[in-house]
Amino acid sequence: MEDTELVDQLKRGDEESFRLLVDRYQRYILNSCYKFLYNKETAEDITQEVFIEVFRSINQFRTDSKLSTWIYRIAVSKSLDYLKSQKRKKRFAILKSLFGEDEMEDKIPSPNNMKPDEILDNEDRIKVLNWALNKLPENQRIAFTLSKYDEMSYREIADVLGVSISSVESLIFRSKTNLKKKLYKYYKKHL
Amino acid sequence: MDKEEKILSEIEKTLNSISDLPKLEANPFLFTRIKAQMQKNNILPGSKVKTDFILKPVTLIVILLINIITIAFYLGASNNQYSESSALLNSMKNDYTSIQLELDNYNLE
Repeated sequence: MEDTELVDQLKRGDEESFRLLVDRYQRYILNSCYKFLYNKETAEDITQEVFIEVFRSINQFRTDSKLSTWIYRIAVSKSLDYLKSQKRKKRFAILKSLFGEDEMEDKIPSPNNMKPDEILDNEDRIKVLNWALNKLPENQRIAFTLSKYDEMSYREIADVLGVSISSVESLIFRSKTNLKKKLYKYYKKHL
Repeated sequence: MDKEEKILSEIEKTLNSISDLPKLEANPFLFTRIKAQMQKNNILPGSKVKTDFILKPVTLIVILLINIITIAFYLGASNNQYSESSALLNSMKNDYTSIQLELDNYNLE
């Protein structure tokens, strides 16, 4: 069944079409959420929310746009909303963070304790990268993640973000520059 | 390898580490979980009504009404104030005229 037909049937409340939509997109959405959240259980919860949102707001979907892009946009937005709510919770809950310069920096691994030739393993590097990505402005973070992880084209990223291709180019360039600066600062302190 | 080189190499590796994130497999019970959640919250297809096109004109009308009522209130108030002050002036004028008349009469006498 084509996506357009699927949407039409979904608008009529057909449960079987919804099951088909979940089957078709769940792996894609789960992994999309995961690369923002870095936690399997949370990614699964957000994926669930994404599909419920798709079901609830299917009448707002414009048939001239791509279904996958629309669902993807919901997934990115839900993931970032979750991260924002977590940040807010942390801000209020952790009193000691008021006195520390940066609480995340304490939690990410320090290469000092690693073997000299294997400075950091990939899991640790992902944690460091996640810390640095969290410091970027939201649109730079999305653009970088979509381009690096999903290997999306600039055109596709532009559709998800609702900006021009030249803006995407600029966002990716700035995200890389900023990430390099932050990582340089981090490794200079920890290596 | 000096420290600067180490840092640069580690930065490159870190930037590329995102592509090494494991690919997650779909949860076979996801649809059941979604269905249960939807039944619990009584969610129907298209239940999220787009309210923008209703709310925007309604908000505009409410703001316009508030403005009109405020203007009408102040205009009314200033008119009343004006009539009150003219009445006061008139009474003062009358009082003054009557005093003046009395004085004139007194002078004539």
